[in-house]
Order: sequence, then C-alpha cells, then structure tokens
Amino acid sequence: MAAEERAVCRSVDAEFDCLADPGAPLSAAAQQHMATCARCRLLYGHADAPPAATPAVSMAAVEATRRTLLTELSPVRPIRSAAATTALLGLVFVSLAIPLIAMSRIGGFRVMRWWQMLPMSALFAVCAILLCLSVSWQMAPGRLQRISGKSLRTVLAVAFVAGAVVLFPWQLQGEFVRSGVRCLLEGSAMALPAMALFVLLLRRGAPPEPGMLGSTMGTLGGLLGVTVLQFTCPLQQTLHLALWHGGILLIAALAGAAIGPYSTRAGAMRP
Amino acid sequence: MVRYQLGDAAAVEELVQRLSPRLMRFFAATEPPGEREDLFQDCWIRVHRSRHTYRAGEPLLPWIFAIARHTRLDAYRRRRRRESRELAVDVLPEVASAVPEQSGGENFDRLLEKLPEGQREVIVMLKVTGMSLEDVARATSSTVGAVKQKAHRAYSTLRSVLEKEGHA
Repeated sequence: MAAEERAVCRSVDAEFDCLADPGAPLSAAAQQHMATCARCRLLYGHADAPPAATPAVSMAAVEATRRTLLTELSPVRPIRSAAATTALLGLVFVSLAIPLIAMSRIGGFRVMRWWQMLPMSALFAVCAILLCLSVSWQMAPGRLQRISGKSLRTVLAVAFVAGAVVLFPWQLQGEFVRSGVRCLLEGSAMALPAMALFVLLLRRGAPPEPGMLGSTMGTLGGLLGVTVLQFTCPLQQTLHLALWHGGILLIAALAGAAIGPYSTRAGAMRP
Repeated sequence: MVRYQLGDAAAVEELVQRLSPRLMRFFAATEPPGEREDLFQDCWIRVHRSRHTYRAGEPLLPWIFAIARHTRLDAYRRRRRRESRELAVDVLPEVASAVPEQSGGENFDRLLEKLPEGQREVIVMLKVTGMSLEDVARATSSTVGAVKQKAHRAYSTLRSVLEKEGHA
C-alpha cells in the first residue's frame, strides 16, 4: 500500500474515531476513499452491504416458531413502567425505614451532630433513589441503564466509607467486636426481609441479568438496614460504621446475587 | 407488540414475519451455522414468555435484541461448559490446520471472529443490524458510554488485525 493511500486511511480512521456514534455514516470524502480502498471498505462500509448478504430464514423454522407461539397465545398484562416501579420501591423503602427508626432506640440521633446527620441523610436518600432506579431499569430487557448496577454499588460503598471516614471520629469506644456483631446482625435482620419484599414486588420481571438485579435489590435492602442503624446506633465511629455497618451492604448484596436467578416469575428468561 | 400482548394472533404472525430476518442476521453474524436455527427458535420462545415486560411506547428492537443477546450468551456458556468437559476427558494432539490461510480481510464476518465476545456483539448490533448507540446500550443492559468505548476498542483491534495481515 502506497504511503499516500495509507495516510488517507489514517485520516479516515481519525474521522471515525471522532464520530459521536460509531454507527453513523462517514463524510463524503471518506466514502469516496472507501470506494477504492478495500481496507476501509471492509472496516467501515459493512452497513452499506446489500441485503442479499442476509441469510435466509428457513420457512420450516419460521412456521414452527409461529405455531408454538400461537398455541400458547393468551392476553397478558404489561408490567409497571420504570417510573412507577421506582416510585413503588421508594415508597416501600420509606415506609419500612420510618417505623423501624421510630421503634428502635434513637441513639444515633443523640450522638450525631447536624453536620454529620445532614450529609449522611442526603447520601442515603440519593443512594436509595439511584438504587430504586437501577432496579427498575434492570427488571426488564431493553431498558436504558444510565448508570450500571455494578458502578452504582461501587459508588455507594465508596461514598459510605468516605462519609464515615470524613465525618466521624476515629477513636474506639465500647466493645468494638461485640457491639459490631450486634449491629451486623440487627442490620441484616432488617435488610434480608426488606429484600424479600422487593423480590415479591418484582416477581413479574424478566431481567436479562438476574444475578445483577438480585445483587442491586440486596444492596437496596442493605441500605435500608444501614439507614435505620445510622439513626439508632449510639456508636458513631469511623471503624464501627465502615466495617460493621458497611458489612451489612456486602452481606445483603451477596445474598441478593445468590437468590437473584430464582427470584423472577417461572424463569421467563431461562431456556 | 401491544396487540400481541392482548392475544391477537395476526399480530404474532406479523411480528414473526417482520423481525425474523433481522434476528437471523444477528445469529448468523455471531453463531456457527449448525446452531442458528435452534437459537432463533429459542429466542422467540423467550420473547413469548417475556412479552408482558414490553411497555407500550418503548423501542421494540432493543427489547427483542436484549432477549436475543441473552439467548446467545446462554448458548455460548453451555457450549463452553460442554467443550471444557470434552477437553478434560480426551485431550487430542494439536493438528495443523488443513485449511489454507485466507488473504487478509476478505469478509467482515471472518474479521469479526478475531474480536472478543463483548466487542463483537456491539459491532454486530451497530453495523450488521443497524441499531443506534442508545438501542445497543438498551439491548446490552449497558450505558451509551460503555457501548461507545467497546466499539472504539473493537475498531482498534480490527485495524491492528488488518495491519498484521498487510492491509496497511
């Protein structure tokens, strides 16, 4: 290949790399070059291939498919929209969190200062909204996920630990292990039933990735436990919060990932 | 699709008729010839079972292709499991390929085989089935940014493959 032609190929590569959408057509000059360059035509001209390249679907396969679908055809009720699911999950979260905080001892309220309480409350509220949104995006195929479930869980964990490190004191008071285990058990005892309730609400879904959905639902349940503990636990110290309260998020996410594949209706997406 | 949800038989026929070629094109670009029709039928059965999850007003293609993609991934995992078991039982000596090496980049499908699964899938959806970035993001349960990144990585890989084969 001549050096000049290679340079043009490079400029077509550069133009392609600058496209906002890799599926979009290239400029007229690039199209002109593609007419003579096999390499660039191969790389960027595939979308313009004639439809004859499409493999034929055998009539037998189409007929068999059509027959199967028609024999099992019955009316179905569509699932809720993503917005309605988000609102429902949020409502359940709030209606569980408020009575649980009210029923428990409110040691956290007494120990925390306003500059600790406000950022932590805001953090929990934002994370709860984002997790509810993520769950509703993940519960059905073809929904646009503006934030991936994995990234969201990572951000939540990092933000929680960062909040604990920045806002709370490091010194240890009381029995670190005994009180920590008690918080872990209490938080898990709130997180797991909450997760079961979320599973019940989403049972009609058909998630493309059930493990991921389960894990996000688990994290939402875990966040409920952590939120309640934040306002009820008298030990507001960095290590206690990061390790024992943060552990609830981890346990709940793992439990969710384990039950996720079995959580939706009759395995709609399973073979 | 809404008529299909209401149990209208004519809607089923129309949907199968209109979408089957696109689905077959997707499976043909990603699967070996012997498995395409099985996957095609399996995909339609999953579409049928999940039809209640489609919401009126949402784009249909990403919904269908998300199911098609999952059908393909499940088949891929099954095949990998089967192959790993077969290898564990019976390790065969490596035999040099009898097929002569093709001259570089004669067809796009052969070139796509050089890509990792995730990148190949994105390129097939973008270039072979003609979906938009947002549609591919919806179909792959991913974000638009992640799809864009995968597409650009895929093209970098393809360029270096072509370079090795003497195209540039």
